[in-house]
Amino acid sequence: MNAIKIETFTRFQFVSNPSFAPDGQSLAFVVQRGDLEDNDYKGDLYLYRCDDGRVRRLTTAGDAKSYVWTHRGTLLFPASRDKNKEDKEKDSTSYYEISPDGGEAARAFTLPVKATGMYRVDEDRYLVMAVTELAKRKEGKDEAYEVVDEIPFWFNGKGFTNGLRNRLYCYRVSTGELTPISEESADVDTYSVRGSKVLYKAYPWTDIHDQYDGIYLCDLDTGENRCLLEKDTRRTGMIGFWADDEAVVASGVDNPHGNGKYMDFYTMNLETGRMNLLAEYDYSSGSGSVGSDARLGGGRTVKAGDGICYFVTTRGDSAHLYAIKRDGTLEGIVTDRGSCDSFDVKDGHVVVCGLYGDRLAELYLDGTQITEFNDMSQWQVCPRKEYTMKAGDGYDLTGWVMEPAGYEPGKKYPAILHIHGGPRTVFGTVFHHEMQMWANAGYFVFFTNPRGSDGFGTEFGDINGKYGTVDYDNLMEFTDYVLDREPDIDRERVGVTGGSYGGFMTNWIIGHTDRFRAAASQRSIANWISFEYMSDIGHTFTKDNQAAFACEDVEKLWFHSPIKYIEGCRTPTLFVHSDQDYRCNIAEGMEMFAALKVLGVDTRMLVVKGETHELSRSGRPRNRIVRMREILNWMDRYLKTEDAGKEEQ
Amino acid sequence: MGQTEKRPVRREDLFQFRFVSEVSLSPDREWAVYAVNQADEEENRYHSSIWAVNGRTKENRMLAARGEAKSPIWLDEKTVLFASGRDAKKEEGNNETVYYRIAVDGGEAVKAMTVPAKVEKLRRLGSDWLVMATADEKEETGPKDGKDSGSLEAVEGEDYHIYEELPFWFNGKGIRSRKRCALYLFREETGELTRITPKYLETVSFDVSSDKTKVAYCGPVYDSVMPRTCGLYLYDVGTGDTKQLVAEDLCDVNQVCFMGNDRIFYTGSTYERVGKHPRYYVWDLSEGSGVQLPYCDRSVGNSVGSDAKFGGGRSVAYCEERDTLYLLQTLWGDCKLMAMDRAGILREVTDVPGSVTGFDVKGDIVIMTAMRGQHLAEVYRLNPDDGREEKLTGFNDEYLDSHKISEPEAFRYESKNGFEMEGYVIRPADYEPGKKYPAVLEIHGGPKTASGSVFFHEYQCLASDGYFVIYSNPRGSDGRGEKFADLTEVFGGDDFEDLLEFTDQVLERCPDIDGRRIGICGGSYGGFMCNWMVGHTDRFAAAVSQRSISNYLTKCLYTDIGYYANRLQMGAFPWEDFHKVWSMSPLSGAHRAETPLLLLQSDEDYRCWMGDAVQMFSAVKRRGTDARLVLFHGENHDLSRSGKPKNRMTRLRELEGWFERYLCPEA
Repeated sequence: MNAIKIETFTRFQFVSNPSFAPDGQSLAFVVQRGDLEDNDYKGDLYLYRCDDGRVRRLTTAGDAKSYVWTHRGTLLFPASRDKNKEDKEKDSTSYYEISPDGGEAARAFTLPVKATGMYRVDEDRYLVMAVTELAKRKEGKDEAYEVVDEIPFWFNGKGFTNGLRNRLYCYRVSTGELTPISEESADVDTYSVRGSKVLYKAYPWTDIHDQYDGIYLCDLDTGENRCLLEKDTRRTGMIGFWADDEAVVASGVDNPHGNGKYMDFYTMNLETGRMNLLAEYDYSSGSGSVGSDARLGGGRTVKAGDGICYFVTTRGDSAHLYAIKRDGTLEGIVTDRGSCDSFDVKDGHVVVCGLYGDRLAELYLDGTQITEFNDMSQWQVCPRKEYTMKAGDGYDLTGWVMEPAGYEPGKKYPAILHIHGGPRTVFGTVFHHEMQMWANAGYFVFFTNPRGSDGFGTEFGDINGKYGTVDYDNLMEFTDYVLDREPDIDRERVGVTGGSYGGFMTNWIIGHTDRFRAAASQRSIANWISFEYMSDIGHTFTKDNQAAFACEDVEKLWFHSPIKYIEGCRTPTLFVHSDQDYRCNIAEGMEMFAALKVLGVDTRMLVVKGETHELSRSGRPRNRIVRMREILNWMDRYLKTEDAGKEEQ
Repeated sequence: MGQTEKRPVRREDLFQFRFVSEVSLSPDREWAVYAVNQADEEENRYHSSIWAVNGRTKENRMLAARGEAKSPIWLDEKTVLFASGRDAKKEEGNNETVYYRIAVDGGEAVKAMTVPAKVEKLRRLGSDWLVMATADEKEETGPKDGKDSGSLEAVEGEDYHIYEELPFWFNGKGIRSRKRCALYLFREETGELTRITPKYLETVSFDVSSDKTKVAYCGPVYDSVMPRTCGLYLYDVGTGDTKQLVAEDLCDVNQVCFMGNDRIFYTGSTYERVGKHPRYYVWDLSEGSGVQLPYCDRSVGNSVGSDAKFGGGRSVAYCEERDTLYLLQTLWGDCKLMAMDRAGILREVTDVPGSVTGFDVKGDIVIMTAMRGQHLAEVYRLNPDDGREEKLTGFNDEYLDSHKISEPEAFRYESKNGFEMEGYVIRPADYEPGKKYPAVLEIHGGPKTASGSVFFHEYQCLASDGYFVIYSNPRGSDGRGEKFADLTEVFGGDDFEDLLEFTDQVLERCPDIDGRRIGICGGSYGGFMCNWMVGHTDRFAAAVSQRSISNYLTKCLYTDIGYYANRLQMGAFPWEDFHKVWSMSPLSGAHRAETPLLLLQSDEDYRCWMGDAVQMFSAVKRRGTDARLVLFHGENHDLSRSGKPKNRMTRLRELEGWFERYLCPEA
């Protein structure tokens, strides 16, 4: 067995995005892998035949990361294979077609837009989601500068988005016509198709993209486009177009929790737009949130059929596949512990791409594992112990402790507390590369889901206006609990790390306790005032999570800002930030770093160029290595040296 | 040329300007060599060339221009050494500086030597050279520059940065963690560089003794947080020994200048209030002790603002023959050349208003670059006894003759703050009394700099567009003493009142200004003030806030000088006194802003970082007030003065466009 090291993730194959062929006889999916040479990820299309269980690789160029089935049972995927031609057409997307029966891919058509997604409507029509430029952005465009006149003007993972919109189009292959469906100023979030009608969520805007999407219905045959729900009326989530005259819509209305409450299911009458409560639901719907740095690629997380809508939902510390029916009943379809990342359903068959046990994402058809791209037996996977404790606030907290590789009871080991982001996500029982790497490097690793986490209902998950209080208490109680039960953890050599909300919490912790000997704060938040005005989601997230905006109650924001408490900090802290992280701006890390410098506390900052908030999960491979190495070196320096843990005289 | 043929000043005129700088006198005092820079529209950069002018005959000739010629220094009475990239394969990424030799009286340049470093400054040191260049203080060794071809590892500098120090970046210099400005001895025969400044010392200022056997230098030593305190050091070329002359008990030691071989002039401050001036000192090597000179309540150097100034020059020089130290000082809106005798008593040498931007002195000859009248900097010969000036170059004469330049008119008034105040008014080009005009109130940066009567391209563009341009030196400005400059913990208070009072004063004097159509415009501290004003008054109709400050909670931490300069201004770090810091932050009033706000910002401005502009934009935009942010890539705090020419055009276009939209000038 090989130790799991920093570079090990480059040996993983990341399976994603399964979907059945129109005839249901086979299913396609994507496999990606890191490429250190080119410092990127390669993706190829694969096919699984349901009759003989054979898996075949279709493309080999490494440039296929998404695809769509045609009605004929061939696959279309976007790629740039004709450099001369496609480089000239900067704002276009070429689609290649490949037959699952053999033969190389050939160019099918080129769309005059930057497509980000495609969906087959019928034999001739496809829906295309594309990034389009408003006239104000096109005019006098100059790469020397950016013009910013709307909010948000940048977006994590997308760069400067001022004057850009996600627009929905209908593409007719036979004529080459590309017809816009959504209005020019609107950002389209998601859509659901039934026959030749499209139900979609969009937000038309010029100055500020505020909170709540509107819902629109477009008849592709007649071109009729109707608004069923005006924007900023009510909060909505996933939508499922499950009958000719009705859709299911996840939605929340005003309640004491504001936007912190999970959304219930409503029916929407597609004539009147009227919404009626169908079923209450106290979990997330439409996507899962089980954290791992060992997955890559997307796939379907919602699918509507006749009178039924399937969706991924986080319940407890797992992502399950559930279905809601027209009578309001909910049914668990795949409820194994782990993470259902994406799925497809056809003719009673269910394929799930997910992380289960200590395996990386593989495909499971009707409950049977059908792929094994990663032989995990070659790796020294450290086991985790599960603990459940009663926290001071009355909730049960479940958490885990991973033992170091080669653990010898009685010997003392350092440990790392890992805090997840969100905060509305969960740590679960799935494989996590970096945590395994730490355990392989000789650390106990422990983690839990404190108040604010996903999967445990609104009362537990809503910490609006409570950041740094109940959640902090939970984490400290859990730390006490673990240290009490794991006497081989050296209490004087415990470090803490986390990213995003976990970075916020790390920043909070170092200002509130000296119990940790080292900290690594990643893509963090220092100051809710600067966050409110700099983050792509600052104008919504701040009030949803801190219960106020700066102009309403600046004291409240300051109270919950880690930097307010930094004067007492003694914990050596590494800050890690990407310079194109527009979620948690690098400013937040720099503020903390400078504060610790001024206060004379050991600190260091890694700034990774050209990366976003997703560095740890989908950053360029070499950059992920630098990030992990810096964090491990920092922990080693303070937790593994001879005199580590001894009080300074 | 008749008045009617004159053309209005336009932003594109930048390409016609020639910027004169770095003047130095030949050992025989016959010639002065200097650098000329000119913006090139096509190539979107500046071209530099080396020129020489004869002080007696006024004969002026270009010496070298090919491949960019810069940093001229005299080798002997007739030969000039200069740096040029003329033979370089590529200019970027190449870590050497090639020098050429050329005679002032004819013949092409000859390659003289190659220094294996990016030389920032070069001085003669006996038969060797003294080189100032950037040193890397990283402990770890490993691939430093460029990519190791076979490596599959991320490369520091290219893929990531490591910050281990404060400041971790510096405006105009990029990422500075573990980097130092160091001095080296360069031996031509061996081609070797030997570092003479100690590890971790950041060289701020240095000078070589008259006999070229000693180097005095100053700067802070640190391996974590750069302190304000600096020592003064001496390096002996003969013995190779270094001695610390003055302990690190003074802040911001600067302006090191040898007065002969045994006396060293330097300045230093105590840094306890904003705007505090340094004290002047002389260290005597023969006695091994120093004295403080009489206090004069002025700084050394030029702080008169202009966007038509490019390149530098000396601001302190010693004249052996007269045993006199010459230095530049800012008084009111002028920068003057001053002479200081042995007792430290200062006398004004120049008495023409304007701004001396650099000079050199030998015997009874002073050569200087200066802005006079509405001229850009030209080379002048100055009689140090009677202050008579003789203009030796006229690079911009034709331009000035053919364009409508509105001369600033200065006026003074007694302020309710107890000081006599000075302000300036530039009338619109083609001004017709009785007609109503909009106006732009310009607010300078610093705050400790000064506005004067010198040519300012942006102001002239606005005058041509049909605005009155008005500006003054509110409290906090330079040139009036440190009490006047002291804004400690009153930012947005005293200064704000002064500017409003000045605006009232102008309106009284210039009834043709339409009081409802006044815009405000400023950069850096001036941008802070614009941001402050939009949240604290509705009397202005539009604002253009450049390289600005909006939130001291963040500014004091993520900028190069924030942790000491802004800390001193606010009197607290955010965690020490949130209310104090927040209440002086323009962002705290931004949700009340009614004034349409344009923010101009550069993304490599590490003095006033883009985070502040972004925060201000978001707050005003969310208030529902018209706001726009133009963010320039790859520019720094000096965009308006030395940014890439096309970006300077865009900056002026945006600025003029914003005022046109909200102030509706007729012209």
